[in-house]
Amino acid sequence: MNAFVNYVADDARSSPINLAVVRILLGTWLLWRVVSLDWGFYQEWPRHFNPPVAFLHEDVLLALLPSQQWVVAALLVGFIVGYRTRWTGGLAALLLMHMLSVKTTIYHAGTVESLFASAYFVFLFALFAEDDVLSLDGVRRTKDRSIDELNAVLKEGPDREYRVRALKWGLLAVGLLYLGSAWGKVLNGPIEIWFTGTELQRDILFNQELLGVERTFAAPILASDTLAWLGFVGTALVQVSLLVAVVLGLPITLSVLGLIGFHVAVIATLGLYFVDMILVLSLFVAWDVAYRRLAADEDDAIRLVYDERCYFCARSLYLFAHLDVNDSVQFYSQSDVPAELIDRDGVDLESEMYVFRDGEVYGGYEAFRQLFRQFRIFTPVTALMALSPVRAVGTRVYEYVARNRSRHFVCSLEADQP
Amino acid sequence: MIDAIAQFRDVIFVSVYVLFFLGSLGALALANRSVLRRIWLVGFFSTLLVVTAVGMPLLPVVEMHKFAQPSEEEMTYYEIHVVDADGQEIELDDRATPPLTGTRTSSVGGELAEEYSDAERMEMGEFYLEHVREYRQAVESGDRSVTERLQPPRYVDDPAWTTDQLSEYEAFESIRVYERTVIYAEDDSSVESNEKRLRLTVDVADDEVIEHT
Repeated sequence: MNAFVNYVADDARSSPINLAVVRILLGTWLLWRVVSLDWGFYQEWPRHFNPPVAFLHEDVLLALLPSQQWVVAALLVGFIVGYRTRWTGGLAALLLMHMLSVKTTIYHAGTVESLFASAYFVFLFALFAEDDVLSLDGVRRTKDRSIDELNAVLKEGPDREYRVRALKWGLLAVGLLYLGSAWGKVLNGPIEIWFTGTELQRDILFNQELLGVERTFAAPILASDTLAWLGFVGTALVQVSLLVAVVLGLPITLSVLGLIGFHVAVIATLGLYFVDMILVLSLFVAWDVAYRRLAADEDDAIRLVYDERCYFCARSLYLFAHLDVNDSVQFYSQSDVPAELIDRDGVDLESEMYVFRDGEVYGGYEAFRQLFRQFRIFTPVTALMALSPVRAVGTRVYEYVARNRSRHFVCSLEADQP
Repeated sequence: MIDAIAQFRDVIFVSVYVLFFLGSLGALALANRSVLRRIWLVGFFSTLLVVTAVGMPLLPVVEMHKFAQPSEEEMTYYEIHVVDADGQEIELDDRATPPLTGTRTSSVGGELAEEYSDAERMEMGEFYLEHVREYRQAVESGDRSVTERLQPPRYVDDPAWTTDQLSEYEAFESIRVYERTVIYAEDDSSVESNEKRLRLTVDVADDEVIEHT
C-alpha cells in the first residue's frame, strides 16, 4: 500500500477524491497566505534588491498589489469550490505569480518559492479543469448530458477511471524543484563538501549566530561529524530520489517521507524554513485510499428512489454517484424500484425522494440527510442537518423545490428526451 | 557562452516574463485543444529545467537551490541597529520592515555598508526609522492588526522586541550597521569567534552619514 501516489507512472485513479481534496487543501492554504500577507508594505521600501527583475519594481505595480490581493482571494474562492476552474484558477494562479514576482524585487526566499510552486499547481488544475469531477463545474457539466445518460450513471455507476493530470505534471515540477536543491550544491562545489558534514555544521552555526537562537536538536549534529555527514548526504539523496522515482515510475512513498523527514530536521535545527513544502508534498497523499476505508461499504448499503423523469433530481444526485466509491447507495426510480419499497402507505414518488435504510423509510429532506449520512466525510453536515432549526428550514426548502422543480429547475423531462 | 548571454540578460528576463503570461493566457483560452496544452507544458518544463540547471530564476519560473553556497572558514554578515537619543542601541527587529528577515536583512546591511551612496544611505535610514517608530508604537500599545493575527508563524524565529526592552530607550534617531565576522572552530562543532565591527552610522536626526573604518 502506497501512502503517496506517483501520478507520473499512472495519471488515472479509480476515484475522483484526490483532485477534489487537493483543490480544496491547496486553494484554502493559498487563500490564507494571500490574505495574511501585508502586500501594501512592499511599496514602502525605497529600493529593490534584485537587479535582474528591476523592471518589476515600478510604483504602479507595487501600488496595485493590495487590490490584486483581494481579486486573487475572490478567484481562489471560486477555485476552491471548483466553479469555472479554468478561469478562476487560471487567473488566480497567473495573478499570484505576477504578485510574487513583484515581491521578489524586495524579497526572494523559500516561502516565496513555495507559493510559486503552489501557483503552478493551481494553473495546472485550470489547464486540465475537465478532469475535476467533484466540483461545481462537474455539476454544471451535467447539463450537457441527457437524462438517460444521467440515469445510467446513477443506476449503473460512473466510469471509474478519473484522470488527474494536474497532479501528474505538478509532481514532475516538484521533483525538478527538489533536484535543484541537490544540484545547487554540485554546481557551486567544491567536491570536498560531499566527504564531510562540515557544510551542515557551518550552516547550523551561522544560523545560530545570525538569529541568536540555539536549538537543542542541533547539538548532536554539531558534536558528531558522522551524523552531520549523514544529514548532508542523506538530504541530497532524498532530494534527488523523488525525481528519479517519478521518472522511473517507482513508488514515491519513501522519497516523500524522506523529504518530509528532511523538512522536520530543518525545522528542528534551523527553524521553520521550507515548512510550506510539507503541505506541497502532502498533495500527493493517496487521499482516495483513506476515503475508501472511511466510506460505507456494500454491506451498509442504502436504497434511494428518485423520480427518473426529473432532470434536476438526477443532476443533484450526480456527485453522490461519484462519491460512492464502494457502491453503498443503490439508486432506483419508478421503472425499476422493487415493489416492497413502494407498496407502503405514504410513499409517493411523484412528490419526493426516498431513502430506505434498515427497514426504515425516509422521505424528502430526511432522505437527503440519510444520503449525506452514508458518506462519513459529511458527518458534520449530517449533524448540522439534524438540528431543529436547520431541519425546519431544510424541510421547507426541500418542499418548495420539490413543488416547483418543473417550473424553476427544468424538470419532468421524458426519459428519452435529451 | 554564459557571458555572451549575460549581455542580453535584461532583454531575456523581460521577454520570458511577458511571453510566459501571454502564452499562459492563450493556453487557458484554447485549453480544449490538447496540442496547445502540450506546447505550454513543454515551454514551462523546459524553462524550469534550464532555471534549475543554471541556478537562476527566470520569473515567474523559480528554482530551489537552497543552502547551495559553500561555507567558508570565515563568514561575514551584517547587523542593523537602531540608536536612541541617548546613544543606546538595539538590534533591529525586522518585523518592523517586512518581509525581510535574517540573511536578507543582513544583505541590506551589507549594501548599506559597501554599496550605497550617502544619499541612498540616508533614504534607507529614514525608511528604517519611520517604520521602526511605527512598529515600536504597535509593540508598546499591544495593538496587532487583523493581517498580523492571521499570519502564519515566521520561519525566522528570532526574538521580537518587548515592551520591557523598549521602555529603556528614548526616541530612535539613527541607525548603525555592524559587520560580524564568524570564524568556526577547527572541528566545526562551535564558533571560535564572532567579531563585531562598526561600519556605518546614518544619523537621520542630524542628516549625517559616517563611515567607520
